[in-house]
Amino acid sequence: MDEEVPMEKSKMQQLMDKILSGDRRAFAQGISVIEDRRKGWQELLNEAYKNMNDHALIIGITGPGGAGKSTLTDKIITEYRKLGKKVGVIAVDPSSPFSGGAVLGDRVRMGTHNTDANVFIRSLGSRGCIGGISEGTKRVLYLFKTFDFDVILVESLGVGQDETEITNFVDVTLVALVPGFGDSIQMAKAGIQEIGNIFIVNKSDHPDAELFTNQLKFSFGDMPVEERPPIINTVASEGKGMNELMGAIAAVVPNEYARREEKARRRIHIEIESEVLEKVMDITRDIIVQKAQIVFDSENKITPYDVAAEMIEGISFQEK
Amino acid sequence: MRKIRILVAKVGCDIHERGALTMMTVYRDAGMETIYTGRFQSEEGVVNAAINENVDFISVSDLTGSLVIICKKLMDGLKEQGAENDIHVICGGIITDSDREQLEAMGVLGAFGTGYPAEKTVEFIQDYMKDKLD
Amino acid sequence: MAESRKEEINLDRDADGLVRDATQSHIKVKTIYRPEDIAEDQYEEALGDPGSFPFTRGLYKEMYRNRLWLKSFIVSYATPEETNEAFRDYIKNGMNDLRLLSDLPIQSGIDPDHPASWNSMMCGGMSTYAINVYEKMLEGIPLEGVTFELAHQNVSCSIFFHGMIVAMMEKRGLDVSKLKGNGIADPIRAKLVYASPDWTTEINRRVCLDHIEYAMKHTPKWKAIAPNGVDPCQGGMNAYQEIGMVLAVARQTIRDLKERGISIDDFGSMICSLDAESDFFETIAKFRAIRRMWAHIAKDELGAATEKAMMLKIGIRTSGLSLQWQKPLNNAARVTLQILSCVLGGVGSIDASSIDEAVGLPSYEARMFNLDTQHIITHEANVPLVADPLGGSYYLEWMTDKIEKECQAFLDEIEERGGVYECLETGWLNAVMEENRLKIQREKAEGKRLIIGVNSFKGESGPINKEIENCAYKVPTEQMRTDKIQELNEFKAARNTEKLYDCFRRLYLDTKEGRNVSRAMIDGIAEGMTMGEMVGIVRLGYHISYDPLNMLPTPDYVKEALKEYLS
Repeated sequence: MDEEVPMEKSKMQQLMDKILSGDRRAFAQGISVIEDRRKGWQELLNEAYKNMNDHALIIGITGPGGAGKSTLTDKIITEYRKLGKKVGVIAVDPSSPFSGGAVLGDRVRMGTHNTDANVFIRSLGSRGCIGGISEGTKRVLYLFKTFDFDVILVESLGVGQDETEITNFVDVTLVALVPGFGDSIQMAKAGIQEIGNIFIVNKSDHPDAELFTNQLKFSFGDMPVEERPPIINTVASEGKGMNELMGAIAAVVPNEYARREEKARRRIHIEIESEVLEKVMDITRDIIVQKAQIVFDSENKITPYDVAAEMIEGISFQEK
Repeated sequence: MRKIRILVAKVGCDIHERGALTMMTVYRDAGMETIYTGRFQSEEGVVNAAINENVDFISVSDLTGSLVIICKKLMDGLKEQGAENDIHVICGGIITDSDREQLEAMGVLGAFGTGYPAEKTVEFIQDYMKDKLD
Repeated sequence: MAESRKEEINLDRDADGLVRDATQSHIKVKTIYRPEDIAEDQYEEALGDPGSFPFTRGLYKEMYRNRLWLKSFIVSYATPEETNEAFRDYIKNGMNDLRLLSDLPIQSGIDPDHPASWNSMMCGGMSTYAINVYEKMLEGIPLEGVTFELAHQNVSCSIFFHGMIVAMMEKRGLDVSKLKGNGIADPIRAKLVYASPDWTTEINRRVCLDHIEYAMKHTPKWKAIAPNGVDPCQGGMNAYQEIGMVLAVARQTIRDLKERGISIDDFGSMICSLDAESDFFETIAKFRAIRRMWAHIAKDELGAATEKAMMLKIGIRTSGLSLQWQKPLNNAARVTLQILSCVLGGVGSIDASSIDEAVGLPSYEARMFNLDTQHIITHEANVPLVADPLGGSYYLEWMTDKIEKECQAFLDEIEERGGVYECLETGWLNAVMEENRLKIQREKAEGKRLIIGVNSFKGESGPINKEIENCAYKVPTEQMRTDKIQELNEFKAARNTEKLYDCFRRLYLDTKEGRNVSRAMIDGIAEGMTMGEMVGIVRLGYHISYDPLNMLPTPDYVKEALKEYLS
């Protein structure tokens, strides 16, 4: 109505103001705007990016399904609440590839925090992302960084192709593993030692726990001794090992804070790259369908490489 | 991209979980995102969770016959937070005729007795949301 | 009308056609069974006469001619006074097995003054927080000579209420060895289906064994465990998975007892709790199969020498899930068929659901209908005159064999996966339950499983149905709940704190130091220890929070009582 008044803030700016004032409901709605890419989402994302701060310690928790990540997250929340910290949680669960729907069950393990105004838990569906950190999660994380949390926990999906990427978006990465699960052993073999600042062997009362911990230690064999990440044994469901875990987190924080600039640079690079790729995919999706038909109809006279080259020529990215 | 989000809730000590678990799967298969509170929750906790998760519906299940008490507190809690127009309450479980009247009077959108076909509940939600998905 | 009905069913078939070629548990069946479908020399090996190994045809030679099954149902209204009144009426009308239950907060291990208690307080049963409530509830009812059955879902309740009756008998100077009955909780079911917050599985497993051991010594006619298949079945498991759960839990319990130096022959016959589902022949076959399987497991695997130890007594709860609120009169047909399948399957006790159960708590008249149905089956239909009257039916014997085979495969898988506790812990049992539950759900939605009045043959409710809906028992008012909390506070204030705190200390130390906790519990109960206190103190003994729901701190008076030990 008042669109002529030049100083009138846009709807998204108003929403951002509310979020910055600590309005929990506005914050929750803002997350949906970005996640669902509702009207004005890019504006809100830009606002979030401009207004985010570096106050919060961001902890990523990853590991295979069944490793007890949610229970661990629950106990970590409890520990930080004992210290009076305001905690935000992003909990990602897989979306169904068939229906696009999802059962987001992580919250069940964190039920005791529902009445605590200083804990904000948000469940996200992976929505097509098969591992690592999804576009939606990254963007939502920027909004979290405007909301004055002391600690932000990101419980991400288990095993993914692009697991290393999460490290650029968080300060500390915890890798939760569990003895007796094939996935855990696979992960231990697959070079996850690169990404974890701390390894957690959860359910360490399991009969195979010792053997598993040794296997894990052995997998660090190539790394210089001083760089080998600590291994913490926990039984999260009973709160065992939490003191040790919290101590280990505190110990790695200074070193990781020193890497924040390096990670920020990498993040910016990743963001531009993925944004461009996403846009290109958006623009070309229909054309690709047409081109594919042409290749098919030509009975291989025309190759997929021909049409790709032709398309790239049409998009010119000259350095300015 | 806009997904219907539903918080499936259990309040108090009602241990019966089958209905809640079934509804979650049915919602998922209908393309919705469904979040579960788990059992033994308080109404206050459910309202907080619903707001933080920015859901469209709270779908509360109870087999103790206490849905009137539970829904009253949920509705009050949503009003207190100014969310009563955005977050709707539906419920399922043991519901008598008189319960249904009271539930409707307090603004609960739908009350579905045990054995009510799950897919009809889904239809009800989709129907309600069809103009609201942009 | 016929036209519109066809449309409602929305199936491309004739209204009278069958939609299934398999049982409820997806066992495919042929249209006819013949002699070659069962083994030739089957009789001696697999069946035997009723009363002899492997007990397929029943545990006793004379079966019901000698003694009918126990007729029971849960009686637990909001107040002890109402419940006492109902007990007296039902006993007069032929009920001879008192099934006790509590409200849901008590079954979660919390007292009425806990904030999470409010909604479900006095719902589904009484708030039996301490001995004063039991005294009122059982006033004038003989404690000797009646069979009690504790229908609670969790181990803590089984122990608490057994302790309650023992404490009352001791107070009255009665002989506790005459106490008869059983609890129907087991550590697996408490977590698998209900995720009972009271105690962890580790605590449940140990305390349950303490309880069994104590009961064997002091109340030998009391079975302190009855592996439960009803709830796993209601949660989604099929017939052979259900009996597989029971057998796995029973077997593990005997193994655990063996480690304590107790043999299966000391333990005696096993008792279990099973579901009577709507699939008629499958249900009968299930009862026969599980008796045979337990006889073999007991004898061949667990080394039973006495016939008694090879016997599995079956207690029944008919399927609550099969009941519908649409046209509740139809539930009369469902329950009647389920009861009939139990009698034909030779079970030991029947707790039948009432026809209004999907609408609310059972009303008095609906309960009387349950009893009368059983009287009609007995005295008018003459069904129980002959033991195992369907024995030898080609179809039934084939089905019994088939269920045994499927169940054996399920049991083998549990063993391969590290045993029943490991399968609970890893979530595998839940996954099995869920998979089947969703399969059934889909079948209902797709019209491949017809539920009359719900997804087919809907019709309309007339005045009789309406009346049933309106007569169901209503939940207690909020005023009654406030009064209950007041009553609890007054009761707590009037206790002898010196003696009570002494019991707290003993329970705490016995828990912590690994002694049998049963006696300390009974003594505490006699002094007025509440459910919440018993659960909380045991938890403290395991270094976990007093409050199972983590909402409240340890109460100051408990801290005071245990100050020497708590850091």
